[in-house]
Parts: sequence; structure tokens; C-alpha cells
Amino acid sequence: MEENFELSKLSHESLLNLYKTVDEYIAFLEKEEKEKSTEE
Amino acid sequence: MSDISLEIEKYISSNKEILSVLPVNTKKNRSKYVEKVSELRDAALKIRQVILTEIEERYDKIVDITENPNIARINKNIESIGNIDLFNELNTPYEKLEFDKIIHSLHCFFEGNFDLVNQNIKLFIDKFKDFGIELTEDDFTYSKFTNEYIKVFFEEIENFSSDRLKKTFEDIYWKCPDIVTHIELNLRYLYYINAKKIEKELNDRNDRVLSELKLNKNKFVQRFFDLNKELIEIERIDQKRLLDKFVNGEWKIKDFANKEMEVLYEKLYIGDYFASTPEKQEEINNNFVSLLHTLQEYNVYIKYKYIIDDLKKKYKNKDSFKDAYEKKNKELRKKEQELVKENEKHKRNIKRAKSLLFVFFRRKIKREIYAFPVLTNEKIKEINNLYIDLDEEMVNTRIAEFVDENCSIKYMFKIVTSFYTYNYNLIKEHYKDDPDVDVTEELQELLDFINQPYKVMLNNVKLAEEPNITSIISNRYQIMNIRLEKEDLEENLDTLIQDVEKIVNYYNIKKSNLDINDITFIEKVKPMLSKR
Repeated sequence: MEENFELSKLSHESLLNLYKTVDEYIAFLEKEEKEKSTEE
Repeated sequence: MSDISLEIEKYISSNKEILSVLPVNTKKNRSKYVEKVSELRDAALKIRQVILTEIEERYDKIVDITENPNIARINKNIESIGNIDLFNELNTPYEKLEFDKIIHSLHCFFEGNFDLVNQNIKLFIDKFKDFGIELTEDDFTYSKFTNEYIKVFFEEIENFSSDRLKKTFEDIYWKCPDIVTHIELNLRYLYYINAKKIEKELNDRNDRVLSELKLNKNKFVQRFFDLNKELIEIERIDQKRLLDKFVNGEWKIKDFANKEMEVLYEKLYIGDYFASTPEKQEEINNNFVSLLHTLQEYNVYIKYKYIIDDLKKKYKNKDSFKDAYEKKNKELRKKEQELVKENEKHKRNIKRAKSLLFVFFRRKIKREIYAFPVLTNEKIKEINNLYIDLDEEMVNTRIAEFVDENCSIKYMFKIVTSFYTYNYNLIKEHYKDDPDVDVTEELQELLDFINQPYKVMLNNVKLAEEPNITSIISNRYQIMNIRLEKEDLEENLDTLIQDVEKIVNYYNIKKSNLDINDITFIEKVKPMLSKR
């Protein structure tokens, strides 16, 4: 995914929702990483 | 949903799908899985950073609005007008130039400190200098102690924390605990003998101000209030000021939601505000702005009613005030002249005591020199009491001159605030059992109120109408379809002010054209950004 995507057209609400979505995705990935690294 | 939002959602779900099909049954597979997760997380962190930067930029752009430049312009105009108190018809230059404040501060020396005494003496000397009168130690001859202290004071005028000045004060204080009173009365005497010169100079200065502005006194005062009114009008709808309330958390946008406001308008307005035309809504809101000013006036009125009551008590005896000031003044000046003569005689006695010509009278002279401090101190105490009486008589004179049944309540307040000591003592007496109350702050609040431009109600309600004040207010606003009973004013004033204030704030936000979405965004983002 390119990082220079266009955000300026998003409404404040959509921008904040997008941030929330990505933030939750990161939390999911961190949880996965932690769980799978500790599984024997 | 916008393209980019969809794109990112697709990207996330496809990544999740990729992860879901990766084998995790062996340690090696799990290691590969973790490697992939880590790679995806790094990419996601970069995406999140890009979004966050956009959020920060938007936040900064919204918050970074500047105050309406007209606010600075009007403030400058108000500053250029200067001090309208210098034109107060109730005062002499003694009050106009705040000599009364200096004297009051010295009079309450026990409440202040040594440093404050020196600052006040210097302030007095500087004010005289400003009016072309250079005071020296030779002007401080009210008592020998005054002269002793002032000599050192002038030598140490640049350094009030000097040990020498402190030691001099301490040494004199034990010989004459009334030293500050002596200085205070010496200053009052200096004002008295220079009053005409100061008055002439002040009148000339005031005339120059009016001629430069091409205004007469009334128009000059009116201009001051007009400018203040203009300032308040601009400030109340200034986007920066309103937005700051949300940024600092004082206001919450949900409190101004339409549902909340519907309840409030229904509570206070007879009619459907939201179904009204924009023009009608503007009219209704302006009525609420006017009501808020009236409620704020009424609030100040009930807080300081004890002051009006005291004035009324005095007013009842106004016939007894006739000539009282002049009589007291005559008595005081006579005593002061006696003191001046005694001081001169004392000086002569000191010279004579050293002279061979008076050798046969030396014992008598020395006895007189010995007894002099006690005798003068007694006289100074009498003079001090006369000055206290004189201050009171000055207020009484003004009451006799300016108060009658047609006098407005606002003017009654103006009379009180025009006389610092009288006002201070009234407030102090009122709160004598409440040591936490700061008398100076209370006094300033009343002064600020007198100098603010919205005093429509108190400007119009006459002393004779005072008992009906709540009915006058409620009738006035019922005509405008506002639900306002006199009981609301008497029993629920705080809630009423809060409600009306909210309607006015809602109206101001609307009028300012602030974007509600921007405010909501700021409120949501602020805690997120402050965590970083």
C-alpha cells in the first residue's frame, strides 16, 4: 500500500474512523505477533 | 464511504485473509507467520502515521485562527481615551488622581507591610512630581519623626529593601508607633496646601484631552462606553475566543446540541423557537442577550444591595449634612495650623537650647523640648480623627447634593465607588465575619461593573422604584414572550442566569459561523494528541 494517499478530501468524521480502523488493525497485528511468538 | 477509506479497508481485510491461510502448525511456520505479521504491522504503522499527520495538520489549522483584528483596534481606541474617572463630577482631584487610595493604604498600615508603606509614599511623591511639584524632606515636618524618617527615605529611594531604611523605621517605630499615621497626615496636609495648583493643572489636562478629541465631557464619556459596547459585541462572537472555550474544555459541543437547546428554549420562550423564521430567531435571541445583561445587573445589585441600603440611610439624614463638611474642615485646618506653629516653636527651642542668649531659660526650654513629642502626638491623633470625619462628611455632602428619589440605582453605586475609603469600609464591615473574602477584589468587581457599558436596568430604575425591581424586570421580559416570573429572580437566579447564558452562547456560536464539525473534531482529537 502506498503511503502518499490522498486524505484531504475525507471529512473529519471519515478521517477519524479511518484512524480508528488502522489503529484496531495494528492492535490485532500486535496481538497476533505476541501470541504466535510465545506459542511452543 | 470514500475511495481511500474503502481502499484501506480492502487492504486490511486482504492482509487478514493472507494471515488466516498461513500455516502455524510448526515452530518454523509460526516464525514465518510472525515475520509476516511484523512486516504488515510496520506497514500499518506507517499508514497510521500518515493519517495522524493529517489529523494534526487539520487540528493546527482549526486552532490556529487569529482574533478579530478589530478587537486590538478598539482596545487601542479605548486606551487612547484614557481614564474616564478623571472626569467624574462627584470627585475632587484628590479622588480622581487616587490620592485617596494611597492615603487609605497608609491608613490600613497594619494590614499591609513596610514595603507597601514606602511604595505608597513614593507613589504620592511621583504623582506630585507629575504635576510639577517637587517634594523634598523639608516638606515633611508634620512631626520630628516624620522628618527623621523621610530624610533617610529620600536617600534610599532607589532601594526600599535597604537595611538602613528598615533600621531607621524600626528605631522610630519604637519611639513613635504612630509614625505611619504621621506620614499619612503629612501627605494629606501637602495635598491640601497644593490642592489648587493640582486642580488647575488637572482641569487644563482634561480640557486638552477633550479639545484634542473635539468632544465635550458627556460625549467623551459616552464614547468610552460606546467603544466598550462595540468591543463586547465583537468579542462575544469572535471565533477564536469561542473556539478556545471548547479547546480548554470549558464548553462541550454536546451541551449545545439541538435537542438540549429545544428543551431550554421551550422552558424560557413562549412559542416555537425552532419553527420561527431566521429573522424571528434573531429577534428572540437578541431579547435573550438583553435579558442576560439585565440578570447580570440584577445579580450585582442584590450582591451589593447593602451598599445602597447604607446610602439610603444616609440620604434620610441629608438635611443634617448641610455645612457639616465646612465646619469640620475649618476645625481641622485650625488644628493643623496650631501644629505647624508648635513645630516651628519646637525648632526655635532646639536652637535656643544651644544658644548662650537663652541660658537663663534653658531649663524651661529643655522641659518643653522633652514634652513636645507627646503633646504633638496627641494633637496629631485629634487631627487624624478629624480627617476620618471629614472623609465621611465629603461623602455625605455628595449624597446631599446628588441623591434624590429620582436618582437611579446605578448612580447610587457610582457615588459609592467614587469614594474609595467609604466603599472599602462598607465592604469590609459587610464581610467582617468572613475573613476569606478579599475586600479589594469585591471592590474591584463593583468598579468593573460601573465601568461596563450595559447598565440599562440600573440606569433607569429609580431609587423610589427599588422595592418593585423584580416586577419591573419580569414584566419587561414577559412582553417579549419570555417566561420570567418575579419568583424566578428571587428564588432561582443562579439557574436562570445559567440557562439564559447557554442560550446566548448558543446564539453566539451560530453567529460566529464556527463550523460545528470543526468543534466536534477538536474535541475528539485533543485527548488523542495530548497522549502523544
